[in-house]
Amino acid sequence: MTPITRTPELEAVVARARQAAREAGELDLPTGPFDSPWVPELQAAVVALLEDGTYDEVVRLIAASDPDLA
Amino acid sequence: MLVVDDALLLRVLGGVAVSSVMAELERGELYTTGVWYHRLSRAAHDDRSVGTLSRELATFDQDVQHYILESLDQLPDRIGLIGWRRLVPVMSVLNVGRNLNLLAAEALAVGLVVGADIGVTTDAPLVREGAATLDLGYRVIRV
Repeated sequence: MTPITRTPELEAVVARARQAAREAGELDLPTGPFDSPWVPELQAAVVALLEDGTYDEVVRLIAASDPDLA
Repeated sequence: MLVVDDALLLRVLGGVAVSSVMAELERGELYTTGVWYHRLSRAAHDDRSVGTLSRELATFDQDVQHYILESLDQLPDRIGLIGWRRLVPVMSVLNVGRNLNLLAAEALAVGLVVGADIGVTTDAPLVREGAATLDLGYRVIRV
């Protein structure tokens, strides 16, 4: 395949998809402050598994068996 | 507008993402993709990987562990998720000069439809190269 960027065909398809998403309410998200319901201990555990490589290792295992998730 | 990967999504759900990402959420401009959401859910539920995660979560009692999984199963409507009825036509005509897997095709399609940058925690070469070809913003967000 020859690399291309924004062809008129692609722009038209994107415009139709954007309009359909707008009509479906998918582009009108709630706004305002977000307070996670997770307790501080859980937040700390999540940060730990993200920063110590645990999550990356889990993703590596998943991606190894399913290239569409890599 | 920002489309985030699964690791950033997990940080957002936990309220521990960097302020620039949380600001996108508060402006109603934060999206993820179905595949990234699926990968996060797989990471939490998959038999082959749940042992790794459960070691980290073992310090919590069963109720809290159940709560964690349940909270991942109910993606807040604050986080945008574009339906495949809209995305498949876009994914089908993407041509970035190489084959795209589902993860990359959906991420690029969402970026185009929403008009958003794509934010990842770990460099994703297929997404990066596709974003460059399509003139989409691409950021590796170090947290």
